Amino acid sequence: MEPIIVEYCQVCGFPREYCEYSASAAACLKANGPYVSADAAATTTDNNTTTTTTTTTSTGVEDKLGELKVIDDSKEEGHTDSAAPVVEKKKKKEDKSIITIEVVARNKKKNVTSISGLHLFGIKLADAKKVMANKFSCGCSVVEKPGLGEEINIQGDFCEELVDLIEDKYPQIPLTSIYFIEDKKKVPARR
Amino acid sequence: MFKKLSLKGSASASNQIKSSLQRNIKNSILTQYPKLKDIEEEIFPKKVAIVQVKCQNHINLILVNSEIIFFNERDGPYYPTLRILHKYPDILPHVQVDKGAIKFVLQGANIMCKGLTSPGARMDVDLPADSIVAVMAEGKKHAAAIGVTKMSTNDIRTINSDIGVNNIHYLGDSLFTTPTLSE
Repeated sequence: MEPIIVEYCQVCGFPREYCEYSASAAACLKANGPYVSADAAATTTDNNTTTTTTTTTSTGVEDKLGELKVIDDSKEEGHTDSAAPVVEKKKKKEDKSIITIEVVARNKKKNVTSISGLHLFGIKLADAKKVMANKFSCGCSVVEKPGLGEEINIQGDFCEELVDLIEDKYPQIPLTSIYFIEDKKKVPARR
Repeated sequence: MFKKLSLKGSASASNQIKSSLQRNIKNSILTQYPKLKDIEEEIFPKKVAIVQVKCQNHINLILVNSEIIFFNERDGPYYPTLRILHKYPDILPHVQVDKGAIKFVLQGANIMCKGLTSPGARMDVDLPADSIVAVMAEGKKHAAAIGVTKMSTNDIRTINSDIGVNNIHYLGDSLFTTPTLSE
């Protein structure tokens, strides 16, 4: 049994004939040109009856690809439009003070939730620590992070509950300035 | 199975497994796919050790030359990856879905009976339930997914509703997008 070497698309990684179904169909088309399967190419050199059928199907595919391309272009434009204001917003917020909540896995089952930036809103960390320790009934401590100021460490994974607690206890903090750190990326806690 | 699984970093243990276990794995794969016997040397080169990587949800990946070639769940049957299937399409029985279903199959949807019985679809071989199949697509040469039949092909034809083939591994899932795992 001889191995068949399948041509994979450089852009999406799919076999070439599946490019039209990938998320980056337009980019694939640009990089590779329209896909003509080896069978279709071979049958066109055969007798006439088959050529008509194959050509019709291939043109159908091309039409569809064209449509896909058009749709994808519009989508991309939409993305760029929406992306621009988001970036601006973020920049503005970084000037202001934000709160970041991060869950660090200590070992397999145990987590530490660390929350930093509370002092930027004029909250006494020692008080906040007491409140959290009470609320979550668990160990809680104020930790000095060199260069970053002080943050509160809570034993356990409380990132969702923390947002609720902040919402309750400290209404002066806008929910939009609370961020989770997931995989080193900032994710807004509430939308 | 691999829709949400992120392979990178999730590998909890990857071991150079014992040679006796290697032999076991190799034998069980070969008995499951008798057609592989002729090309045993190509898939399992004698000098290269088989590596097993354990992932979330009790999924085991079988690596040769740090290329993922087979996987299984718990002690279940071994499935080839799509890249192996593309190279050797005859190792699995084929079923073909119609054109309209491709889009959904590539998003990881299970294959409905209607997609297997409509004019564009084909089921040439009679299969019992719970057999591993290559899901081909109308007008395409290569497989789009690997699945397990939920009912026999006869039932698929007669009942003709609900899920016919469970989608296990499809083009574009995280297993397909990470062809190699380097240790």
